[in-house]
Amino acid sequence: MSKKHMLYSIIAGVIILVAYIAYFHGSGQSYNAGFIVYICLFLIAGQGWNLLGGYIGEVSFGHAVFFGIGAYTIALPTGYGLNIPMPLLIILSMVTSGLFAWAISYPLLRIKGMNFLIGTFGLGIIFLNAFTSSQLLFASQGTFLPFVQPSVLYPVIIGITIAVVIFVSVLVKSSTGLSFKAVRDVPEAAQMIGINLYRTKTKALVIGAMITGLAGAMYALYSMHITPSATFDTSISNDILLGSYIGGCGTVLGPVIGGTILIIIQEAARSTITVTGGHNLVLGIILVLVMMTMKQGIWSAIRTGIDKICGKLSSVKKQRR
Amino acid sequence: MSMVSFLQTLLGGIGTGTVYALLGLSCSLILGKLQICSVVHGDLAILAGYICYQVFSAWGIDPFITLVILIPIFFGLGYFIQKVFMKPFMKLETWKGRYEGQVMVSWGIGMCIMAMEYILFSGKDKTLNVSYRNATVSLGDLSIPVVHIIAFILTIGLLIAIELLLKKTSLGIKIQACSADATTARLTGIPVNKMCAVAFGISSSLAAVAGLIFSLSNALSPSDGFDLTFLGWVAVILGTMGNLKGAVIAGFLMGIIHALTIYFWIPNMAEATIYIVLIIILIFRPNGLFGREISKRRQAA
Repeated sequence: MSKKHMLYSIIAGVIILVAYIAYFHGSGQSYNAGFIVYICLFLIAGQGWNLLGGYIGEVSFGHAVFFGIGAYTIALPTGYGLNIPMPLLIILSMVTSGLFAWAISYPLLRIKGMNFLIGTFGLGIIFLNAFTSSQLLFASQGTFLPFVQPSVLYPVIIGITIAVVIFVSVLVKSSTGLSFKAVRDVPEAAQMIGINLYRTKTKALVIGAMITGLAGAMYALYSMHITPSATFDTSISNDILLGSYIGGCGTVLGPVIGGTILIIIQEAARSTITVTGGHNLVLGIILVLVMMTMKQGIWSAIRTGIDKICGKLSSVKKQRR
Repeated sequence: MSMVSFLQTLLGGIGTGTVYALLGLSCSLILGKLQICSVVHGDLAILAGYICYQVFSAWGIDPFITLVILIPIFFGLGYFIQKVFMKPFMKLETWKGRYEGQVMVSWGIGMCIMAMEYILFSGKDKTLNVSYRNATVSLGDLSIPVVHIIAFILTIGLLIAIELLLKKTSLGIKIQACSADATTARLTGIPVNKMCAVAFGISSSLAAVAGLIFSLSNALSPSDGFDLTFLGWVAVILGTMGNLKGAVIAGFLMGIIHALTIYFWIPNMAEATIYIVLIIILIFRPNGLFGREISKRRQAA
């Protein structure tokens, strides 16, 4: 990414942040302000998933594991009554998620395709069951966190979201990001020019896990009460990866758009279809429609649409000349 | 722990394992032979279970009679799903784009099925109370539920039937040809897309049988479908992709692991233990337990 683009995106980010703070105070800390932050949590996690799922092309069904580890790293010390400063804990939660991802990369990254998908899903089930049945980890009733003023926390989360999006867009343009794409598209050629497939995948997994862990930590602070079913459940993994798929994985803005659409639709469906689990009908139909009509997701469809219009315009100009 | 109770646990495990074995068989058939990935089979199974439940509680018709009607219906349903939803992805390479698209679409279909079950039957557990549900046959000190015996016989019978179908009939040989080399098969005049749809239909019918067996020994709940799908896939992976016998044996093994965990360890961890075993086995044998039959093409992929 060039310096000009970087500057533009930072300016855009600051404008969004200021606009949010203005909205937050203007609306009197309404429900919507909190809901925007809730969406942002999944956007951060979606960026983390996208590094492995979109750029490397290994679909993970278990990113809730990193999400939950991040959340529990921040919740357990406070649950046990230790007094550790919050910024340190947030960094620690990223580190633990990353370390865990590094440890788990040995068995998981040697397999690919469907095996990887099932393995990561299983990881999610293992963690959900282990945290639900262990009394040391506060079992199913979970643990509480200290209250953080929304006027401080919410802008911080928005700021982190913007920072993560900019970080990922810089990363994927760097040589590391290009090596991710090379591993996905032409593994043999990538190997030939000296890219270590396994190490590149590990890099994507660990960085992605750290970002997802950060999202989990923020979720813990946001909801103030952590239970295994709210952090390790498969529905969290599903929300993380569905957003990327609907928006278009393998792009930076795809998961942002898809995640926003997904969470908004999900909440709208939950409030209209009051039967438990009924909202899945809307999600399923959207998923099938998006995958059948635009295989690369909404963002790619929009982009090709824009390209077509631009192409037509430029051809019109040429004819006039 | 006495020998009798240990054997009893093992037998119970094999009984539970029949569901995983049948789901593994159905997934292995389409993935191993035609490289179609689907995560809809668990939801299809639960749907079949709900239909059997509804028919039984409304008119008192025995679920096995319902099953005879359900098998062609589910064949049609599977045929339809493959023709309409999975076919557009068949052009792509298996591990580049195809499996992702198919997994997502079939997952979406599964979600719709699950939501319909939630809306029609509510999220409460439903039990199929047939007269022989709790009946047992005693064999010395052991007592075996009748349902488990029926399930075991059905599983083995279906495995043999599918193997015979693939090896002896012209339909099966056509499917095998599509699996070995789709381009050449198309050149020799085999309708590849139709064969894929037929195979998907057969595997959906197998899922319906698995659903009936599941509903005879467990309480039905719509969210079980998603978990069952993945347990079926674990059977496929443990038993090596494409190895039908392997998938069935792995399914029984998973049932035994499930039962032993409940007996020896924390009952809550039963499902998790299956996945722990899966990850440990994948470290040592990335191709699954019965990896010898794997083809060179698959190894390269």
